[in-house]
Amino acid sequence: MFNGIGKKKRFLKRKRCKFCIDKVTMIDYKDFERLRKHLTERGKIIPRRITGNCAKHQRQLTSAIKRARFMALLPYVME
Amino acid sequence: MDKKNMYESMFIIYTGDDDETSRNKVIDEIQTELKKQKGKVVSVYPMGKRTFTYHIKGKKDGYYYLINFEVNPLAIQKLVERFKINTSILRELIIKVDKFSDFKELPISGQSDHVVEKAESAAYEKEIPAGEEETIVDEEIAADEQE
Repeated sequence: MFNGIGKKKRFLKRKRCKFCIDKVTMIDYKDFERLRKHLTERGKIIPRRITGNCAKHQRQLTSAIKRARFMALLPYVME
Repeated sequence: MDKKNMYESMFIIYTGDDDETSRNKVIDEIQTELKKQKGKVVSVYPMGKRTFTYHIKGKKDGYYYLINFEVNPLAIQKLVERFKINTSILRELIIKVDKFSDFKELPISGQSDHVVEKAESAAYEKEIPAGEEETIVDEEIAADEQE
């Protein structure tokens, strides 16, 4: 079939939970270098709709980040 | 009353000097406090000196310690009260765990994640065939149009 006219195709890569791929059972607050990747430049937690994390791991992630913040391993605010 | 839970705790200790003996003194105080509550100290692990990401009580850095212990859950509140009185302890975090983590696996200094990322992308391409990807695209466009 002719497929040239009509819809503009966006080839998006399907996002997958990074923790599910690595088969992480518990997200540890001590692993803060890894948690740092889930923060924005300002130090906010990146939402699930952008990273593609599953709900289960996102819940663990937020609590881990908040624990790491309390222990001054991660910042509350950057800059 | 013999019920005991496993706890993992992290302490930030600041004694004003870089002398290790004064820090050990604080650790001993923590251990005696735990023993008073009939707790059992499983292991003490120094995580070294670390600069804070923000200032705590006007201090820029402190020494981190990880202590695993077993104690009755009712004693935790008393312990925290006692730790708060101690001025050498800047922060304490006590978490109930099912299993003590292995210290060898602790990522204290940042490990390079390049290897992990490579494996990740490889797994990605395998699991999603081209056909499936296309259908996803179509669905998303349809959703956009509805909006």
